[in-house]
Amino acid sequence: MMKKVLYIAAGLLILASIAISIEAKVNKHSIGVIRLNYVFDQFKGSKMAADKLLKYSEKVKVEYEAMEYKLEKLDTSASDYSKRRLGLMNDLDQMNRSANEKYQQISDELSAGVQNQIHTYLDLYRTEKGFDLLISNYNGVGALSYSTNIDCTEDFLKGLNHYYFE
Amino acid sequence: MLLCSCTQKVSSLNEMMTWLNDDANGYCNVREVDQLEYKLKFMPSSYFVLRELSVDPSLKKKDIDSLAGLYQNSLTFILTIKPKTKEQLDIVTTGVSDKEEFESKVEKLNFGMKEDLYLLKGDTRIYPDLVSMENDYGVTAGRNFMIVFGLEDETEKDWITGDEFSLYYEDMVFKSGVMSFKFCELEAVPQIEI
Repeated sequence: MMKKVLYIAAGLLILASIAISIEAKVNKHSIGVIRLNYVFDQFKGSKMAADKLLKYSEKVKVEYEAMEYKLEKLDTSASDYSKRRLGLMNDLDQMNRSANEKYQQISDELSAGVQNQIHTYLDLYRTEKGFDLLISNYNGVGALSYSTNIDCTEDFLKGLNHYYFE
Repeated sequence: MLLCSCTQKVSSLNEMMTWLNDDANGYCNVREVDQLEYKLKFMPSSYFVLRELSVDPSLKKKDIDSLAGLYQNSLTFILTIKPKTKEQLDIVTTGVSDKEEFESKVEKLNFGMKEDLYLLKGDTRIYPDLVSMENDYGVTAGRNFMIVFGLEDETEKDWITGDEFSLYYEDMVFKSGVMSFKFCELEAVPQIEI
């Protein structure tokens, strides 16, 4: 009789421990961490935006140098030398200012584009994975109590590049 | 690349459109950024031949071949930029704060898109010869752009059956960044049946 009671008690104990373990797993929800700095750095869209900006700078540089060359080659003995020199210097100055403005405009437009792409995909990724996402701006992944942190940066980046470039 | 000698046959513009819109054939590509949808459709020369046929059904096989020849040295795409949902407003006027900004946006969309679009196949990059925005006078919230690339030594068929290629769009109007539309494993275009 005693043996039977012991068996039943042991069985109940095992069942209870299984129940506790299941309950713990249910409560322990996953949190995905995305290191945003790394994503911005490695995203193909960021690299292509930087390339576009660089190309614009190079184009402006060539135009600027051509204008400078014109200024250098001005005939110093010409009667209207001072007037023409002043005119060219004004043109150069104006060109410089408008190029800077345009550069800023392109840069703003491209940065906003990269941000919008990342945010759009972030929403999709969050829905697809079905867990909370934590955006981290540093490389470490903070430890939150009673939760499992998963660093999904690489997975997110792979999906992001695929979504916009494949 | 799939090159099938026993290709499908189409006899009307509608049939061709249905075929082009079928994702499985690979001629349509969609991207979404924020509140906008970018849909790029590769329009094969057969589509334009069928369009001519729909206007003049008396065209004979000889005329069709001659028309197909006219289009074979170019690649045409239609880029549709529209809001993701029907409730959203016109893409040209949304987000514009003053007249100056509106003018600059309209100018860019009408005359400045050529520099932001290109095709890339391997290391070969080609820019469009023509980009034309369809003016619908605000009837729809989105806009269509016809993009035409002239080919020097190759034909449309070389591109369809050759290596994969991508059309890149560097968006400088709607803050959507740089994106590419990849075309690979394209199904052979259906033959025209008359």
